[in-house]
Amino acid sequence: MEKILAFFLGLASVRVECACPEEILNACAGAGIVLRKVQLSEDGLTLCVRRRDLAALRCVCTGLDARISAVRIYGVLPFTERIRKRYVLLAGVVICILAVWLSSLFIWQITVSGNTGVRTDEILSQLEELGVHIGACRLTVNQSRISNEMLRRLTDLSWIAVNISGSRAQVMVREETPAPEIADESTPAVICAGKSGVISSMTVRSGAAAAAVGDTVQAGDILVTGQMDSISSGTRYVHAQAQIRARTWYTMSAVMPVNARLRTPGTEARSKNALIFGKNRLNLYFDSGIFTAEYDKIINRKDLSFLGSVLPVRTEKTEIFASVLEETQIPEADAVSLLQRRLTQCLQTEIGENGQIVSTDFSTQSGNGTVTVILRAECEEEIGQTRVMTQDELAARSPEDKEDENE
Amino acid sequence: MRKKTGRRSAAELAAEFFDIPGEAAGASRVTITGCSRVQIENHRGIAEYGRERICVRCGRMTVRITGSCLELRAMNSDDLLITGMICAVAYEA
Repeated sequence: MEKILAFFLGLASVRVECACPEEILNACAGAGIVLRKVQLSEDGLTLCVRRRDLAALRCVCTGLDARISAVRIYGVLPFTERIRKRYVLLAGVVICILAVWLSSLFIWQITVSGNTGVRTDEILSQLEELGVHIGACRLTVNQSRISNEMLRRLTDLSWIAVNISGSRAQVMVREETPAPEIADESTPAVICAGKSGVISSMTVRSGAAAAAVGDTVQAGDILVTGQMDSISSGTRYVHAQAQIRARTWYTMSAVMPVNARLRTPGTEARSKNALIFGKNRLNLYFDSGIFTAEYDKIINRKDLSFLGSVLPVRTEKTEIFASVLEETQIPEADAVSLLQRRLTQCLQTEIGENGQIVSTDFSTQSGNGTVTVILRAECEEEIGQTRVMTQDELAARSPEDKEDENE
Repeated sequence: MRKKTGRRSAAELAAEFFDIPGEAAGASRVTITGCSRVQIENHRGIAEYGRERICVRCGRMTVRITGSCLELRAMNSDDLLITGMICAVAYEA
């Protein structure tokens, strides 16, 4: 504790040149001078005393014909006394503190999170119209009003919150979940085949089946009709509902050149820096920095902050790497493997999540600098599609109904 | 004839009789901590100061501290602290 207090009040490191160090030490002790870190040197002593004891030490040394040299005063109070007269430095410190405090009143960083379908730039442009943008004063931002206005403007959003913390504005959004399609069961409808195939399973919940398991159907054929005949109640029309799965066959092909131009990194690289103040840019270079026709560019941006407060300055470093385009030949096996994977992905997308690939057969053809892969696949998938009955279908009634009407 | 060794002062005798700590009577206290630290209270000055030997006057006797890299860490009119690699602490009349 005493050491801390002594450092706070100020210490003096002194070099004393004397013939008899013991006399100096005893005289200082007798004068009430507290000595610290006494080290013996070739021609005297090196010791630390409190700054206020320095004058007394000089008197003691003068009385004993000793010489004081290399005095160094350090500590908190001596430091503050030295800079007290440095008005420009103190003014600069105050100005810096004020500048940081003032800059914290403005928004210098906006982050958007939670959006998947709505684009971030669309959200930012709408916010800018409402007064939330880089450089806007955060005291003028009414978060609740902006949230309500954003929901009114962007109908795809179900919830939005604009949280401002210091110089950072964090925008969190939640998008609307689209309502599921509800089938109108009161409207007469039939189920048609969306694709050609051989029916493998058929489950009819409503309507009359117009096809059976094992039938070969073409796209557009009616599989389940919405017209149901009854002896007691006659003909009635319902909204047909059924699950119909069928075996389908696909033939897909993909072509890929085996000669390609690949970009390989070169040996030269350059970097250029820039400072971005809000929306203004200051380039720290004089030329474009582009030294070759073929190049790759990597841009790194970094926001500067001070004690957790984002500053209105951002650094941008652009690194330019020279690259060379080289002609190369892709191995045929790699090209075939890539095309097979792509075709399988396309097929799975075509048949949907409920579809199942039963078997696949790949064939390869190569020539003229290209590789062609043909996929022949057998799948099982849902083929039923609901279609509203037309007026002609509704008008066309069964012959029994017509005889009953005539009678 | 029995040799007289270490005559004590009246203050020391009185402190012993009345069971008072010797420091109150002006006796020096030597506190040794390990082999690197010696603190002497109520000293009477330094007789010899060096990196291998420091002699401290303590009234009727002298405390001689020998070792290596000895350093007077702190000193005021009553107490002093010596640090370093201490090999021996001896009392000399």
